Amino acid sequence: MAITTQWMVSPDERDSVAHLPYWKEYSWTHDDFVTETAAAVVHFPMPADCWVLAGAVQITETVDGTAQDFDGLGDDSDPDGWVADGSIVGATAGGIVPGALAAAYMVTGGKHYTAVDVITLTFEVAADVTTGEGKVWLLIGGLTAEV
Amino acid sequence: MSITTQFMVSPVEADSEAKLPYWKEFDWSYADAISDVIYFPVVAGDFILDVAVSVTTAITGGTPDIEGVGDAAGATTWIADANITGAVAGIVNSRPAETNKATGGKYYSTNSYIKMTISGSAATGAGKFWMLMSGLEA
Repeated sequence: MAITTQWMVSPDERDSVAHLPYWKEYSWTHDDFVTETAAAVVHFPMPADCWVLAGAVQITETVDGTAQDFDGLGDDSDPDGWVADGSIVGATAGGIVPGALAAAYMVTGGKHYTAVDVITLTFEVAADVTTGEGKVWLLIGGLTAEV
Repeated sequence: MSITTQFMVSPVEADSEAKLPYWKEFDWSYADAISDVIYFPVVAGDFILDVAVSVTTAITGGTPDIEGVGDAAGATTWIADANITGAVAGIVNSRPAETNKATGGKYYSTNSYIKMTISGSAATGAGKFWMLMSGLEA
């Protein structure tokens, strides 16, 4: 009976295509920082037509300095849209920190970047930075809007 | 202009690596329970995104129930008692409002466990237990 039901629907099972979500992993170091006003930012490339479901950050080497502080993972529209400012206190090495479901882009179920863009990792810095490294992950949905 | 923007960033696209999330599957039985708790191992460095449970043989004996799925931080940090029973039809997973799901998953820095509490005096009960592993290495 179940098989009969399958065949009665349209489209049927054979019309489906599998797409795999995956994490895109980047390593970053303090050498990648672009110094801006009171902030150090790492820019990661975002190609056009890319649907992102989640983000995560890890600091594997502490960003040096007494006032250094993680300010978020996001983009030019919302610097902490993926992992909120406050998710990491200070800028000390530690484990993987995922974006909470309350983060701006998680609330919307992800974000579709229709045009080329940049993902930003931002630290508040009070002095020249000489140490600091880690990883950033973006969960790519695997679907495109391309027709 | 778009291409120029790509080249201005550091790191560049070619520096990235793809990592795949996957489900880690366990069989469970009421006979695995220690004082009504079944423990599933978590390895230091695991970043777990979700958990899911199925019941293939209903729990019987006593007052049959699954009383929650949690970890060392609490018995229901993954799935609340109210959201799972001992005779589940289909698969039950963690809901967005539940503690560890709301934070986007949980990173375990040391060897630990996820635990599922079942009702006392269980005489039958079996099924599958899954952890959605992020696939990321801390």
